[in-house]
Amino acid sequence: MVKTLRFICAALLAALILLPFLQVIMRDVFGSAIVGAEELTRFLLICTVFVAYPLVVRSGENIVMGELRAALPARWRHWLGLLITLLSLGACVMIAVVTAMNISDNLRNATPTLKIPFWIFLGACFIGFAGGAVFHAIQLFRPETPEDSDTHSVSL
Amino acid sequence: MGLILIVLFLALFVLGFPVVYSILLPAILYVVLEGLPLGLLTQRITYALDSFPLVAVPLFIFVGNLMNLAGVTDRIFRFADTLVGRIPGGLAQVNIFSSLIFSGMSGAALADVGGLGKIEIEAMKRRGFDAPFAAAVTASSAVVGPIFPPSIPLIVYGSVTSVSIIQLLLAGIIPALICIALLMLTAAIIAMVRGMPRADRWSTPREIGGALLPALPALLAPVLMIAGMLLGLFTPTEAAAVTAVYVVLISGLVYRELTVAHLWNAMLTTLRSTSAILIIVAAASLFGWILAVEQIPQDFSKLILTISSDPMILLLIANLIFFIAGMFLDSTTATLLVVPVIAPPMVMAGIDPVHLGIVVIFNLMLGLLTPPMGLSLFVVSSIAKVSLRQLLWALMPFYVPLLVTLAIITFADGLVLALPQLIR
Amino acid sequence: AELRYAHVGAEGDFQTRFAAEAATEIEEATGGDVTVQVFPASQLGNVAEMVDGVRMGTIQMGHHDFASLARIVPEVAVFNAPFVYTDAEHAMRATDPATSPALQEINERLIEEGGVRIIGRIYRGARHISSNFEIKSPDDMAGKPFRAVPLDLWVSMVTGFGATPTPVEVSELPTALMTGMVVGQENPLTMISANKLNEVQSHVAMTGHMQSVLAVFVNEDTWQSLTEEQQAAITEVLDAKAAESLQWAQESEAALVEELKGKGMTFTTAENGLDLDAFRENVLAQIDQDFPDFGPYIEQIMSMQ
Ligand code: NA
Ligand code: NA
Repeated sequence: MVKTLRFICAALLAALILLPFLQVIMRDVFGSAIVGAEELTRFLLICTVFVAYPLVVRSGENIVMGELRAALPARWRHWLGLLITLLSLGACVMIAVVTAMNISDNLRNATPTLKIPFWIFLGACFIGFAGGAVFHAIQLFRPETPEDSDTHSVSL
Repeated sequence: MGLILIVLFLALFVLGFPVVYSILLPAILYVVLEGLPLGLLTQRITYALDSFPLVAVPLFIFVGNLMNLAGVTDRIFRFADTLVGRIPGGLAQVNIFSSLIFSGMSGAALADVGGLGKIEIEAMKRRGFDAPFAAAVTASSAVVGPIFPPSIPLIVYGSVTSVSIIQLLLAGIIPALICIALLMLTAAIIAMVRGMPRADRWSTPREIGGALLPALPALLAPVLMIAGMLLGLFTPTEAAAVTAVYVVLISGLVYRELTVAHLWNAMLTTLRSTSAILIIVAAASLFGWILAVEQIPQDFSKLILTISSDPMILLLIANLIFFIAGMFLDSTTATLLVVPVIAPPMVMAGIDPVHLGIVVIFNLMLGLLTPPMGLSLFVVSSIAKVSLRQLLWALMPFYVPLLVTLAIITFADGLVLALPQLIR
Repeated sequence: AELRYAHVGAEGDFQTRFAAEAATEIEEATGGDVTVQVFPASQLGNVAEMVDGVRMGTIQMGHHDFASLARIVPEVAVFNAPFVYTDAEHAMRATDPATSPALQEINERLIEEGGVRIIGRIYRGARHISSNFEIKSPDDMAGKPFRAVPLDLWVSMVTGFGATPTPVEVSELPTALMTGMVVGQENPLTMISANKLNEVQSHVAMTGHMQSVLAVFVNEDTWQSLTEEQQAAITEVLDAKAAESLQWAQESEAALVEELKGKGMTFTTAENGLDLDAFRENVLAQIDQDFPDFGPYIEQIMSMQ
């Protein structure tokens, strides 16, 4: 499953790079911009962010300021970690469920120019949070490993 | 209710909840308690990412990752060495100058620290610099990364405020150059006082040329990007795509160091970083909606404008607010949650939104260097293997040029706006 | 009842004044039983979010171009179509929810399919073409990159002008005009003045190709939860305000022409050689080709002259 996700994500990212590039070539070299290219690019971004989210949860790369927690005594840290994972799981499940319900309400909704149906990116959103929930659930049963506790929050 | 939400967010955040859940949990609670349609959750989260400018975020992250993997970084460092290695401070100057070149392709501060920073710190240690000083130079020079174009924080700022991103990117150039010059001056003074090593002689033009050639494709990337935007050939997002394709091509065809494994790794790292950042953008937009309905930004605007309507005083207030925000929040979260509250009254009072953007982002970048939540500090201290205390102590003199730069960009708006003025 | 009224208009725009004044007057007209809280400047989200918010009921009321509702009923965009109105008054008649058969027919479908009802309109001025060279006929625009609002109706219209439709975000529009990514755009004169496009554009062709009328719409469940008296009071306020907005726009247009002339812009009108008929013919032909479903509605609208 992780492998599939990775391939989908990589394909999305490649499209995200190539599409605007192609648009530049079409407009500046051939003088005819592709109608709807921006819409498709935005749409791909939405899908990319959500579909890659389970990978973020899996590798523990969510942006977090863990400094206070790291300074707590081991037992407190353990219980707080459990609470965080539990509530994170809850939030993911909630969003996933609401999104799933939303898909049926939005079956006829589509983007204005290319008429890309909404269910595709709502589906991506569902995959993102459902996948996130799965990996949070795994964390719940496999409590933090020693190296987890001193990984610093890193964001770009 | 609005204030309770903010307090709840801060509490979860400080306790070590991932930022995205620190935002989502109070928001979900609000939607449920207020009996709002649950569809609001999904709607806000997905629409927030429906933004063409934000597409530039993964593209510039990708460029930064690829440069670190495909040998571009080493060449930049070697070229900088031939240019400024003789200046008092030696490798410290090289370190600072490399950051400027690197920042012309990378849009994030921590990409600089994580990739280039490693090379810089190791080289400095080998040549006899003490580790805390090397770490301090690296951390402070990384600040220019998101000031000099390209810049992910400026793109996020532009997309939140609907300010022209091209203008924001151009506005960053002069402040970044000032900051680099002041940092180099500081390093030179410290080096002379403490008698630090430097190159024995200036490099010959031939040597400079020899190092320039390999670095040239990297040096051309920002030129290509800025010229293309100025000539109307592409938008900032397209500039990011062009740069990405360009970097893939030069690292594959010119440097021949790009392997499929590199590309694959760069893509996966990019995807995770992108998702980790933009999922916060998504969650923050839900939170922002709730704050707007609760009239928090509106009330705050009125409050600020009752304090003063003098742009200078308002800019000082903005400095204070964003300096503090930067101490506690990461730059994306701070931009998303604080800017929509603070920027409208400032702009209404006559502050140029492009100028304000540079002031805001510079403050937030300083936040990377200040405890308690200074991301750059943590990364650099772990790379250089120095304690936070040692690093902070070594950083003290470098806060001076950084704060002087902040003062200059706050008060000399003409300087900041000189380049954007060209295309107004 | 308490209504959240969202729109994307900025400070100083007529639509912002419209919403603020309408809110106060609705409160007065209903004796304080219906209060309206206005959220201008995209505070509650962009256009698409606002429309979906009104459908969903997280936002009760909003206004924007008719075409923004096309995601519910595509044909509603016909009220934005170029060259379907002879003048502003005609546009206001054709978009009157109480009397226009075309609007009523489409309103039924909006209510049925999206739970959204149009209850008023705002006149925001005629749209004209600005450029950095003189335009007298579609031939002058042939093959040149013009900014098109990224909606198919606009793309179709700009194609009808003969130009190459090129999408540009509003926030980048002045820069794109300055750098030459696009050589022209079309908007009401208020927008040209407010965004200082006169600094990057030399000419305005007074095509008046579109009458910019915005639809004021409300969530149907919310509307049905109001008493008939309240509904009548709100409609009355919005109707009076619509007439006022027409007056604001017409008064300001003449002043704006003078102001922009003073700032060095050159205006092309039918008197000095603007070939309006050529524009009308080309654009209507393109619209007819791209939107065959508009046909009957366009006939209905044109018959209301
Ligand atoms: Na940069
Ligand atoms: Na550096």
